[in-house]
Amino acid sequence: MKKINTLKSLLLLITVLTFSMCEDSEKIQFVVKDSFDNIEPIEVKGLKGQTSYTLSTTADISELLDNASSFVKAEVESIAISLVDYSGNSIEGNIKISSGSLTFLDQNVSISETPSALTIPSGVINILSILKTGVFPVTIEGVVNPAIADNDFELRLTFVVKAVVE
Amino acid sequence: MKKLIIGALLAFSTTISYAQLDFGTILEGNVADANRYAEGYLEPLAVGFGQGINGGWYSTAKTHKFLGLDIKVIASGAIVPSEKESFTFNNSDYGSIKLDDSSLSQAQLPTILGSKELGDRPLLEFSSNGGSISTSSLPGFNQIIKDNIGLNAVPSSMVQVGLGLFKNTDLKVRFIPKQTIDDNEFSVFGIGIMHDIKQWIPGVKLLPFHLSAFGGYTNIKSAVLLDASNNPDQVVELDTNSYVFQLVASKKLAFLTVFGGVGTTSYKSDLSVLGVFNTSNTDTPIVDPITLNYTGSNLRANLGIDIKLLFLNISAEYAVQEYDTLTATVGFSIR
Repeated sequence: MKKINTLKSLLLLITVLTFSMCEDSEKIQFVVKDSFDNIEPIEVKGLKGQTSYTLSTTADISELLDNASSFVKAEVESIAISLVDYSGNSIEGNIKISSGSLTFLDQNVSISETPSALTIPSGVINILSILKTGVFPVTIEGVVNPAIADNDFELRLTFVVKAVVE
Repeated sequence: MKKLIIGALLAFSTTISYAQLDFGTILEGNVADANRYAEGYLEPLAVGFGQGINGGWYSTAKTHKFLGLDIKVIASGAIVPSEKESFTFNNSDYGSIKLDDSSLSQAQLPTILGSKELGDRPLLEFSSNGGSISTSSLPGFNQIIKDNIGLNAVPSSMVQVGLGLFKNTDLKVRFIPKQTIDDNEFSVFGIGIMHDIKQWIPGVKLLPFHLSAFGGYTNIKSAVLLDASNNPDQVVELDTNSYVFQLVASKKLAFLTVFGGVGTTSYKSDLSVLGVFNTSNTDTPIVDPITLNYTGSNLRANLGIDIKLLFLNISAEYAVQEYDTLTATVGFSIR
């Protein structure tokens, strides 16, 4: 997620305002939707000539929680994937992005330096069960054809997450 | 209830110190939008105060004898009309806030006295510097109000003293000196005159009821310091002035008095966020960022009963006006 201090503060303000106005027994829920590209770009090294790969990273969506006390629901709506500093044009083939037993997508894609948003095929996926303090693991598995053409590049993922917090 | 009222007064600003947020940053790109949104969101509160504090001025049209006295406690609730539980959000009215659903150009959002349900709160997209984030619109708190007082109304209360003067004229004064609770200040002042006009109308003065003219003015001031220790100049103020002019009639039936009035009422409520707010991205401080003004006038007709129980006078009245108002009073009257 880009540094948008104003927006973040406004979100915080709205959330805190609500909670400060409620009686203790009252819980107010908010839907919050944002894109997260604060996942560290995945460094891909030594895969030149390979036709398959497995990478792993983590996604931190704790910023959605802010002053709310907990997630009620958290769903991944889409994932955008792109290449950084790749010497070829694109990587063609099947990609599977998953977290634990949840598979976000498993499909043929063309990955280039232009981010392309991939809607989760089955709609949205509830990641509440795999969230730990706002963080969930991500595994990327790929089978490509032709083979990977670069020995040192980065893979960047951007998740669009819609959450209900209270 | 206290939390609701205080929170409502502070609206977009009260939470800053709570969350240690940088209010200047929030205002930096959204001063105009914040003002516009707050205007719609807070309207029922400001108008409700303006309408509600006009209740309870009298419970009879009969004026006191010379130096006669009455003292009473007044509690009012201005009932929020159902159409004021939401306000229309038009994309075209805002710069950096839009409806998240791009197929819509406008939508109904809850006011502070509207619904808190997620389904009634469309997502809003806040954009800045090429990025955006979407979140539910602000919730309303009508359910909390209903749970506390039984109906969706803006409550107010005060103490009033009435004194009989000359020529069947009563002076009525409402007064609560400035009260300071934590970082909040609150005061009430009001003055009214009721004069028996029946005595001046030949023929009518012999009829078996009382008829008076009444005029009253009430002012409520409140102020909340946002950050008393570090920024004592940052304050949210609500200043409400309300006027009422009516013809009042009453008829006593044993221990029961039926009273009613017709006339006009008007109000002016100003809500301001004052002080100097520094921004994190520029060196330009923002001064007195939010100013909202609400004014209105309308016809007012009310009907009520007053019951004398030993030394106590207990009354209840219902006023039909922009925000219909229920008022109850308890007090005593001499002469």
